[in-house]
Amino acid sequence: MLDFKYELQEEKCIGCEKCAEVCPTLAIDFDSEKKKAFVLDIDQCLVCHQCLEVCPVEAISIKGALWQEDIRISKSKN
Amino acid sequence: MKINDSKKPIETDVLVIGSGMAGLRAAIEAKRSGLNVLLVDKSLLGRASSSIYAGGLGLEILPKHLPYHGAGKEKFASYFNGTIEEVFKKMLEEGVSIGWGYPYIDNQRILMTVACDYKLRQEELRDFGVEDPYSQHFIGRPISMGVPIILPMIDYFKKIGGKTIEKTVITDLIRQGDRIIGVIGFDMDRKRFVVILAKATIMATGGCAQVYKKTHAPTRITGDGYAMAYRAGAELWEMELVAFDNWTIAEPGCPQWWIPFSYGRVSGKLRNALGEPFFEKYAKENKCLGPKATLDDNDVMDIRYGKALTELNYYFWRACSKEIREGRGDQSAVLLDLRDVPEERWYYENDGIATLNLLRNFDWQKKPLHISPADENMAGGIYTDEYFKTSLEGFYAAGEAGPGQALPFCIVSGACSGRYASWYAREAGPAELRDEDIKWIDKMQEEARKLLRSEPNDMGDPRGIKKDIKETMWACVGTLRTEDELRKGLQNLERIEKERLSKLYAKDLRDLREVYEVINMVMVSKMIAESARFRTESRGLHQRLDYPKEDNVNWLRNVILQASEGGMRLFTRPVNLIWEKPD
Repeated sequence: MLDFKYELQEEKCIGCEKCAEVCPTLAIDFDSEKKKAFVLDIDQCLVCHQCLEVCPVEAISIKGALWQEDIRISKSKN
Repeated sequence: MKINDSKKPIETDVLVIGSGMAGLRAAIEAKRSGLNVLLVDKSLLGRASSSIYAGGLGLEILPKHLPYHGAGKEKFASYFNGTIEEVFKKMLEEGVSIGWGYPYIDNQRILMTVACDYKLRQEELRDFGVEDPYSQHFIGRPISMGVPIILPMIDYFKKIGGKTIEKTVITDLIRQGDRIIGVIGFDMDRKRFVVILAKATIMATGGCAQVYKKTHAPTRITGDGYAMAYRAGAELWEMELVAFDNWTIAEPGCPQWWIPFSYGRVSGKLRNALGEPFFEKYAKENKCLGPKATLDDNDVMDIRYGKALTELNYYFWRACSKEIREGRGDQSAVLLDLRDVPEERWYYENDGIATLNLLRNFDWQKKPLHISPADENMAGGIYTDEYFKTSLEGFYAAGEAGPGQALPFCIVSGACSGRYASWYAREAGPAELRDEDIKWIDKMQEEARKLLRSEPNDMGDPRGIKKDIKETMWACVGTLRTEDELRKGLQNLERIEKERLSKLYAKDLRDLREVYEVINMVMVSKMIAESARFRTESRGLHQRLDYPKEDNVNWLRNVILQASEGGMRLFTRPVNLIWEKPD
């Protein structure tokens, strides 16, 4: 179990749709009326980091997930 | 909402639709031959493709990977290790991919092209700025492991002068006689219709895995290319061959995604609801265990079963589907017991830590995990010859939209289709609209305007219809098929088509994209169900409970389908067994 925290700051969002475009699982969606991205179902998030990378205004942050620096080779092989 | 007319058609020599691995590779090849090339995507370039989430290039184990290589030697299939002849034979018996299996019914010339070309195409990715084309499964990004390959390729394509358009949805192909001369669609950002005229068009839109409820393909993989090709009158083939994968998480609160290969996963134990190790029994019955199988739970799976897991993939989903169907599953799933897996094993390679991210809300150390078969990709697609030319002139197909699937096939078919399409474009006459084309375009654009004017209603909600299609396909056209269920599935799909497609509406162009996706999904679902009904045998990916035997006497044939005046026309063509025949 990880202490995972995903945050999308609505006040920073400029409504560019990019995060919703790249989300592969509809964890993030776009509200066409409000012109803002919103979290639809964060349990579906794969932690692929694509939304975070395409966001032009750093409105998205991911905490508590593992990333490539966590790859480490254990001594007890097999 | 209003949509503007396009002022005048965009013109190009070669048009590529779709910017995943196959489309990008095709676009680069065509551009390098010196022509004008336009690459179009209905979403952001590259990033919404399934290539971003695919790790199929990293299936070779190099010495530098050994430290990350926790499991036995065979964890990753050394599928492309061996002589060209060995690789060819393997693909022939198992499909243009990695052990999904659809023996002997492929074009052997395409298989030979992939066998000969694949290693060169992988190494060549370095020319496009890809730092390491070999380590997807070991070092680097978890989950979105295609990013370090796809993004440099986009930059490279732009650098050599390639043109791109994003967020532009292509809705149909313009056919003039037997030739495709371009496409129509709409640009979501600029809010206008587009008409693109091209001497040659390459379809690289990927597969259609979103037609199933259980899938781990990205949201936008809705079979648009298949449906557009069908509407234009091109032939499609092998649509009954849907590749499933066994390792999709089926736990509430967790994403529905596959558990990537890792030392951790191969240390798990597969059980049914009664706690039985059912796979051992199934594997013995189907004689798929390797000669050195230990069948010891303490060994990792490849040693336990004596074989590379990629080669066992389709036996896994068949066995699991059988357990679930015969009532030994739990909530339509089987169990993967990871409780005894030492935690450090997950930290070995990116695939392991990706799994810990996916299971962040699930205590795998306390209880076994529900997993289920799910649709992974489509082995069939738009029919092409070995030059990746479809049955129409000036129209090519690559990658999953074309006649195969998986990244190795995408880079080879991408490069080949790009080359042959540019040869065609060099010789071909100009692509020009005639009066009847303009009339047809006006009619199609008027239909789109009508959708934008329609009132919202429950029956016509595109996402609601998508959900119904997905449920129907999973229940009736899933892993194990019967005539009765396939017929029921088709009836449901026809009901959706008749009662709900006329009620579709779109509030804006994002919705309009969903609407076209729904129309395409219904069409492609019907193709899968009809083809599956037509092939009355079981072969690899296509499993019929009412015809359980592989029938080499009657069915060394391809199922081809095409639009005709009376609806969908299905027929078969014998496989050209030029080099190898089954025993």
